[in-house]
Formats: sequence, C-alpha cells, structure tokens
Amino acid sequence: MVIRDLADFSRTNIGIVFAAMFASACSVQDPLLPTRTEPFLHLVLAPDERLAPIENPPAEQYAILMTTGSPVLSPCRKAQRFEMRRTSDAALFGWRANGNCLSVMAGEHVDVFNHANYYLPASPGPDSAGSLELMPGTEYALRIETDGFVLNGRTMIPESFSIRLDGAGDARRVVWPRVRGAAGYFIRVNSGTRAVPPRLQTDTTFPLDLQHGTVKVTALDPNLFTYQLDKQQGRAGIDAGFGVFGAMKSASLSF
Amino acid sequence: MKSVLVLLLFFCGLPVAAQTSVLRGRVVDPAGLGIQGAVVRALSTTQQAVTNPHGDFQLTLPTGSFQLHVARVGYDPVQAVVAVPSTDTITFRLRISPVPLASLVVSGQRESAFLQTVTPETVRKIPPLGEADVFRAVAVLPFATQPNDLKGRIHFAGGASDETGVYLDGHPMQDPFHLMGLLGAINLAAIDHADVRMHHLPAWRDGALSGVIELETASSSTTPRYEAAIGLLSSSLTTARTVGPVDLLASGRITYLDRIARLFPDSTGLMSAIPLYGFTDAVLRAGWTKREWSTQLLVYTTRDYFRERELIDEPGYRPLTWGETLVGARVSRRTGASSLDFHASLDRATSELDERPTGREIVLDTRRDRVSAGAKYSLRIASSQLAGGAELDRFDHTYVWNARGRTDEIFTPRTPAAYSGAGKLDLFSIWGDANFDLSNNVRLSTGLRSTTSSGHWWVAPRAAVTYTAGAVRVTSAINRRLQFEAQLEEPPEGSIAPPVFLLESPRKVDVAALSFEWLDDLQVDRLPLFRIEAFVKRYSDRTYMADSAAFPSFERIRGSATGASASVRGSIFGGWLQGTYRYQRVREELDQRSIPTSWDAPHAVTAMFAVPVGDAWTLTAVYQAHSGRATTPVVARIFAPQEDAIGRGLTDRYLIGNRNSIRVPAYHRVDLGARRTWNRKNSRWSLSAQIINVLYRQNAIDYDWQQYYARLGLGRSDAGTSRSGLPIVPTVSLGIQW
Repeated sequence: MVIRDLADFSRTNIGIVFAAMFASACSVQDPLLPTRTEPFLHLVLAPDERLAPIENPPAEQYAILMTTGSPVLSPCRKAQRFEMRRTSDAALFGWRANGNCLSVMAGEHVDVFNHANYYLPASPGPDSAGSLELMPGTEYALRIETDGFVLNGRTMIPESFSIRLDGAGDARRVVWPRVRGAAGYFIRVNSGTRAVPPRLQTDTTFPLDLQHGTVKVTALDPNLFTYQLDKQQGRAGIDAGFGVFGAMKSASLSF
Repeated sequence: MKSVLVLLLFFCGLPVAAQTSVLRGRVVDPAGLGIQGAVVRALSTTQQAVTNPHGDFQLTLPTGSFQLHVARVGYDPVQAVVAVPSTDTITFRLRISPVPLASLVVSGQRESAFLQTVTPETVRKIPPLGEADVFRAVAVLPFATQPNDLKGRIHFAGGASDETGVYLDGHPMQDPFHLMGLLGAINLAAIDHADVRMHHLPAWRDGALSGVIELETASSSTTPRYEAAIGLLSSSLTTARTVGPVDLLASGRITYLDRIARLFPDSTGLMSAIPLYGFTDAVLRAGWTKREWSTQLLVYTTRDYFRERELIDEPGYRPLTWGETLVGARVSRRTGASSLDFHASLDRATSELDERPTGREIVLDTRRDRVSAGAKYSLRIASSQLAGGAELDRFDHTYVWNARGRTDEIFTPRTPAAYSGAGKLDLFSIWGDANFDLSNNVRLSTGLRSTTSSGHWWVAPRAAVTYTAGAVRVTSAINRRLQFEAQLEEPPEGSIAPPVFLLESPRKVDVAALSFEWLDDLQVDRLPLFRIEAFVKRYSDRTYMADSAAFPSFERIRGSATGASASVRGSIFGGWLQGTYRYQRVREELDQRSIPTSWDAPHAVTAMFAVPVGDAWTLTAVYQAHSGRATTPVVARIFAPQEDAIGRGLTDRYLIGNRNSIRVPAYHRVDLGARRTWNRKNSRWSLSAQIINVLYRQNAIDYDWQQYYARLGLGRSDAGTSRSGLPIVPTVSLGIQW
C-alpha cells in the first residue's frame, strides 16, 4: 500500500478523532479511596491520667473501636470479644461497651471521651479487675474479636518515676531517670505566659528557660512512642487492623 | 488548480541602479507562511536565488521583463512575468503537491534520523499558552512530554526534566523558563529553528542524559526585518539586519499586565486579583565575516519577578526575582574541506528574595555560574567527515536560603527549609566523531567522548548506523551519556528555583534506539511521512535524594525507560496533519523494587491539524492525551494522638501507599487557534486568536487528599480529590513584520 496523501485517510477518520476528543472531555472522575473494613483501635492505658470528663470517676480507661472506613466515614464498631489480661497472673480486666457508638466524619475532631465506645470502670465487679488495678511496670495482653477480625496486642505500663530540677539560671533543666518500659518521653510545659511547644524525645533532660510554671513528663511505652513518632505508622502494639495499643505514665513538677 | 498569486504591493522607496535592479519577493505556502529553500530562477538568465527561512529572496537583474520560475519539492512550481525595475515585493503562493514516491531520488547527505527540527512556522501553528513558545512545540514531538498543563520543562525519552539540555547558538543555558517553569524564556521572533536530539548525541554534544534542544538565533539578511507582537501577556520587538559588515539581531520582550493593573483604581477588586508578576527577556547578537573567518557575539538575559502585594511598599523589601544571563562568543574558520570553531560562554542563573526587612525571616540568594569553552576541528574527505575537539566546563554554585513555609513553592517538597552551601566542579573533555559511508546506502557514525574531573576519567562511546534505500531509512544508535549535575527531585508545578547540585562522579545512562522512516520530500520541519521509533535506556547511576541528615545527599539507583512510537504526517484540506502515538514506561529501582517514576504515563497521543481557510486564514487544532502520570496514593485515613494532647484527642493521619502506584486520571486537551495574515504596504500583519483547553476539561495534575478530606469534613459537595490544571484560556495577539 502506498500512502501518497493522508487526506483520504484523514477525511474518513477525522470525524472519529473529533468524536473521541469530545467524548473524552467529560468531567474528571476522581477515584475515591476504597472503603477499608479493617478495625481501628485506640487504647492507651494511663492509670494516673485523668482521662475522663470531670463528672465521671477519674480512673476510668477508655477505648475507641471503629471501622477504618476511609475516606468519608469511620463507623463505630462492636466487638464480639474484648478481653484484656495482666500477663503476670492472667487476671481479666472488665472492659465494657458503653452506649456510645458515634461514627466519625472525615476531618472531624475525635475526642477520646466522647467517641469512646468501650471503657474500663474503676471497679467493674468481683469477676474482673478494674482500672484501679492497672499498675506501672506490669504487662497486659489484649484480644479483640470483631466481625471476622482478630486483634492481639501487648503492652507494658512504664514504671513510676519522678522528675527534678537541675542547674540554675540559663542552665536550669528538668531531669529524670531512664524509665523501665518507656521508649520515649513527651514533655509539656505550662507557664501561663508563654506557649512552649510540646516535645517528643528520647533524652531524659529538658531545658527550662522559664521562671515559673509546670512541667509534665509522660513516659511512653514503645508502642505509643513508635506510633506517635512515625507519621506513617498505621499500627503499633496490635497485630491486625490499624491503631495503637499502648501505655503511658506521667510525672509533674511545679517550678 | 495551479494558481499563482503575484501580489504587487507597495513602493519601498529603494534607489534604482542605472543598469541593474534588486528584485525582492517572498514565497509562501497556502497558509501564507514563508517557504524556506524554494529556488527562484529568472529564465533566460543565469540568475537564481534560494529563499531564506522566512521565504524571502532577492534577485539582481538588468532592466527588462523576465519570467520567474519558482520551485520547491513538495509544491507545484509556478511561473510569472515581472518587470524590472520594480520596487514592488512579489509574493508567490505555492500549492502543496506531493511528489510520487517513485520519482524520489535521495541524494546528498540527509540529516540524522534522530535529529528533528522545529521552526517558528510550526510553533506559530500551535495554539500557545499566552505566548508562542518553542518549547510547547517541541513537546508535540514523539517522546517529548510535558507531564501536565502547568509544567513547561520538557522530559525527553522518559528522562527527568533536568536531563534535557538547552543550548542557544551552541552555548549552554541553565534554566531558560518564565512563569515558574511554565513558559520558555526565548522570544520566538529571535529564533530561526530548534534542533532536537534525543536518541543519538554526537560526541561533541554531551552533558544531558536524555537529549538537547539546540536553539539557533534568527539569521539576518541584507533586507532589514522588523517584527513586533502585542499580546495580552507581553509585547516584543525584534530586528534582524545587517549594519555595514555586522550581522545584527536584537530582540526584547516585556510583560506589563501587573504594571497596568496598578494604574487603575480598584473598586471591583479585579485589579488586585492580578498577581504582581512579570518577566523580561532579550537577545542581542552581532556577527561579522572576514574572508574565511566569522565571529559572533551573543548576549542573552531573562528576568522574572514576583512581588508580594502587601510587602511592596515596605522599605528594604527585595521581591522574588530569578533568571539568567548568558554571554557567549564563537569564532569559526571555514575553508573548502575543513572548519575550525572556537566557543566560549559564561552563564549565570540567579534567584533572590529578601523579606527580612519586613520582619519575616525568608531569604533566598542562589547563584549558578557555568563557564564553557571549547574548540572543534572538522575535516571532510570525500564523503567522510572527521571531527575532534576539546571542552572545558567550570561550574560554581552558591546557595543560601531560609524559606520557612515556602519551601514547596520555591523549591521542592523535600528540600530543607534552610540551607547554606557552595559547590565547584571543573570538567575537561576531549572527543572525536567520525562519519563515513560503508557502502552506497549504509553510513556509520561513531564517536567517543572522554571527560575527566578530580583525576578520574569517564568514557562515553556512541555509534549510529543508517541504511537508506529509496524512500526508506532505517537508523539504529547506541550511546553512553554522562551528566555531572542533578536536581534534588522532580520539581512540582510552579516550582520557582529547583536547586541543582554538582556531582563528583557523573550520572550515567546507556541508550539504544531504532528508527524506521518513510521519507518524503514533503518534509516540514524535517519530519518524515511515516516513522516508527523505539528506544531502551538503562540508568546505572540515577540520583535519588536520600533521607539523610546530610544535605544534599544522593543515593545512586538504577532505572530504565523504554518506548515505541508511530508518527504520520500528510496533507489535509490543503493544510497538513501530524499525529503520533507513543507507548513509554519509565521506572526506577528503590528499596529493591522497580517502581514507575512520577512522570511515567504509558500511552500518549498527539494530533495536530493546520488548515488554510480562504487566502488569509489558517485554522489550527492540537489534541493531546496521555494515560495519566503516576502518583502515590493515600491508602487509609486513620487517627493518631494529637501532638499536644496525647491520650485525649485524636487527629487524622493519612497512610501513604506504595510510591507511584496509582495514576491521576487520563489527560485530554484540545487547543484551537485561528491566524489571519495580510500584507499592508511594506508590512505583513498577523492576528492570532487561540483558545487553550477549548473543551474545558479540567485535567488533574495530582491528588490532594488533605484538601479533599478537609472539604468533606466541612460537608462541602465540591470535595474533588485532584488539583486541576488549566481552565479555558483565550489569548489574542497582533503581530507585524516589516
């Protein structure tokens, strides 16, 4: 075949080309993220934190269990089994579902108190331990079964510790010992006069350039520390789903 | 019908010699564009002339009446009787008439199959984005891509955008782009043509892994040429003429929209919506020839600025400016069979910003100097050509910046907010090229380039074989290429000054390419009637910015690019059509996985039409499509403790999936243009109107998941996931040549 002039070819096909151009010019359809059915868990053991609204008993512990469900909505989720035991004596802790079951919209602020759909009372009853029995330096195992997913996890609450002031003037700093069971520390300073950005660190000293205020050092177990440090961490302390099963222990000081 | 349009125009007041007169004229195609290389003969005399790139010619004839014969392969020849002396400019309009293949005789040395040329005529047929831009035209060639609407930097044959070198009259440039990389910083009127080399580089040209764009400035003639253009975005003025023995080209372009906007009261808020952005560029070239020696001096400069409206009256505020200045010289000596060329240039690319006097900490001060010098000797022996030479390149970079919060805008996302550093590199290269015929239809080109730096030598061999039989040409080539510079990462759209760093050991790529062409003398811009091309590239030393405390720190990774394309070209409705399909994959090896690069888009189609309507109008259409470039997805939105309230509040966390594992939606764009040309007195006018993205398809540039989720959270219904490219962009410009 000898093509001498493409006019014949073009006249035949030019209409097809233009038709294709118009057809392709419809609006762009963006692919949405696939909805994920894996569970998302947020359970951080904090025995000395006041992790409850003021009207509730202070020592209750809270957990959020939901379906990851990106991109638009993360629906609340129920577990067929929600079991946490102390590994040293296999003591069962009495986690319970509460009446809350709030779904979370994209971009919505998630408040642990308001969105928690599981909680650990201070004293749930004679057959199970409560939040008052969470002890620093002890390890806990978690098993959650929820709609075909099984999550196993393990964490240890860091040991109790205290902090102290060291140095004077510009060299003043807060120091504390390395805490067993902790991988890092979260430091918040409250002066009332100047905002000090909170810091996540592994070092056991923190410089103070304020005259007065309060400093709070929270020791984070490896799960929570890893989850917080690495912004691409999808899971820590559990073997399935997304989220974190961790623990923390705090110490404060006024100066 | 064969037609001759001899248009007697206007007196131009030239003095008439007593015995002979100069007859001036122009040969144009049906669209009114000048035809280069047409032969104009005065029958019954020995006088003849060949038209220049603009189609102009002049003949010196005695007084009398002559029959002129105008011919150009691919067009119907025409004849007309003219009277001499005549102060009129004669215009010959030729009709396209492809020559039967059987009658084709290939003679002389054809250009390489891997050299493609873009002329201003072609550029003007492509609806421009504000300004006619040679780089936009280059991007419609096979394997030349601009990944989306808002990136003007060109990727060649799967390479990154920093692997494309740009030269002006043989001198290397560093960043000839306006508008944050969107628009080329060369005024089209100052350009004669652009040669594009992708798959095979001769040994005298190296330093860019994926190819080069060699811009040649417009030639002058004894007839002074002036060209002015007035557009919505800018205006330009160009002159090319000889002044005594000096061949002169001067061209300048300037924008003014922001300046005009400041003059008007802004009751509607419209004026304040115009960004305080602008640019200038200018080319000045002077050359002269004495016996066999010719000398050329070149100065090129470009400058862009962007002023913050709220800071403009602050004392001490230095707005963001960037650009480059090139000063170069070439000296050549040409004799019958040999030539000797020397070239030297200094190119300085800078970017500056200082907002410290306004209380902000942002400062930017970068400077990249490149000094190049070289010598080349060529010798022709029968049909063989030998060439050899040496080059010296000195690079000197200094960087200082503190770009808090604006790192993405000024540089690239992974660039650190603050940096101060410098780098120097000296390269010395020697090279040799040999081209000779192995038989009547087989030609071999071989070359070797060796470069040294810091006591190490690197060798880059290359070879190409061309087989020609009738109208068919088959070419294959293998190359090794070296590049001693690297950008941190592929800059995003709108990146102002992506930093480039010097490498002590070069990046390397090996290229193999094959081309099958069906040649026809209906060649516009030296494109054949039909062409199939394929290439394979293997990067043994691609650079990747390492996640390291040290900056800059490059990992050396492997990569590959493969591609195949088919192109056709022909006449249609008296005009022409050009279409290309290409398949191309570009991958790099990261973390022991082979993944697509961010500019990988496997399928691409380009179609161009230019059709004359009546005697004065030309309608053009360009359709571009590709299958969407690779990008990195967000695979899940989960929650994480707030940084200031661990244990109490949770905030969104986006988990990033595998790098470049999804694609943005397919890209489609249709641009339409209309151009009317007419002659008035001794001037030629053109009015151009274009509509970019006429179908208003908002092509996605990338996904913006953060914005998407934020909008969803606010309950907005317009929570599209992608950032869009151009809307409909109409432009109008008026040009005049005299």
